[in-house]
Amino acid sequence: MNHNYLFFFFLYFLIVSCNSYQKPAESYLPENLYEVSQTKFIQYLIQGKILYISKCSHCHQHSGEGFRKLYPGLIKSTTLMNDIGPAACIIKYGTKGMERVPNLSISMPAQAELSNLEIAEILTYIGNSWGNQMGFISVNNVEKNLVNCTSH
Amino acid sequence: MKKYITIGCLFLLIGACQETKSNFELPILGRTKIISKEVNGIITKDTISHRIADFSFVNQDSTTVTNSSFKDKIYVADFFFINCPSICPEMSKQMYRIYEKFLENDHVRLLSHTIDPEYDTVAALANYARLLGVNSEKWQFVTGDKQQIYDIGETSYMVVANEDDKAPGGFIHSGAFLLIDKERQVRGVYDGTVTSQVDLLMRDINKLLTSYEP
Ligand code: HEC
Repeated sequence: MNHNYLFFFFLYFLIVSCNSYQKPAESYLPENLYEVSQTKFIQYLIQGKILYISKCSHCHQHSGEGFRKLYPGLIKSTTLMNDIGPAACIIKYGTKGMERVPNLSISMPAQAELSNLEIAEILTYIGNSWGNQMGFISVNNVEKNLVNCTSH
Repeated sequence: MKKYITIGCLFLLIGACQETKSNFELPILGRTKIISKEVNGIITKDTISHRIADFSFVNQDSTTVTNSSFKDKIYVADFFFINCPSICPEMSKQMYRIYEKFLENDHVRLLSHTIDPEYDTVAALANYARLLGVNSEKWQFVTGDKQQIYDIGETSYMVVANEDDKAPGGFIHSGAFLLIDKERQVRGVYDGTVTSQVDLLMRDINKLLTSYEP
């Protein structure tokens, strides 16, 4: 009896949590979606969210809102919106030694262990959450941009 | 069966109430030392509780900070470094909660020691405090002689801090918050990365403050 309840609760939980992963896709379908299948886009969003929670959220916070001026918010972040190039570089190599305006922030640590696929997944997730609308970001796109990183 | 549970709950409730009422005292942590001294040929024994040793550091305003900077204050101490990729962001966030909660209470101070004094210079700490938007009267970020920082961490505050190439950011260290009373005694140790632990710390701060009320 009890176990039954538990099972249904678990099922419900699963469905609800799956739904929440799909939400960004429902609320915003990127224009370049014809290039990829919708399934792939959703896979990236889910994987990206898992990675974001474990690798980024303790600084940029759960909903990308940032914390004080120490950790910038990623909602409508200009760096992110302008061009994925710098964003991909920042994620992989951090900002230490970059020519940012001094004393504007502390630097972000490098996360060189992230693969190009993981970076594409993270960028797809943060690029299409919390009102950001950057569309699907492919591994190829990340690969191309990482070649041009200036400081590492 | 149900009856027993109800009665059990009742007992628990009563027990919990009594505890908050009667047990205002927080423990004094650390080893007490017994020293014997000779006065007029008679050997007497004295117990000394564990206290924070003398220190002298420099804060984000280049002001020297010593034990006497915390005279008649209780304070929360921790150890961190600016480029810490792992636990420090959460620690800063939790410490900021304490900052906001006790901002108006002049008896409470916060003290964050950097364990990476080579990188975390006075200027870097000043920048950090500015980005965090906190006033240096309330929340001091201190740097100083590395060995002195590590020693006081280990022997006075009883936390670990060490350089380690394999650890994230190059240091292993504890995320502990320590509650220090006006007599320089450690009255509580809390995990500064866990919200519920910091809730408890804030309750204990109030408890400790109450114990000083006449
Ligand atoms: C240890 C804390 C920390 C972690 C972990 C972290 N970041 Fe950052 N991030 C920062 C800081 C600090 C900056 C500002 C750096 C600067 O301006 O030099 C930043 C900047 C950024 C920016 C540029 C924002 C802008 O508007 O300029 C992006 C994009 C970003 N981070 C994404 C990520 C992603 C994605 C992850 C996870 C893979 C991540 N960060 C993990 C601290 C962190």
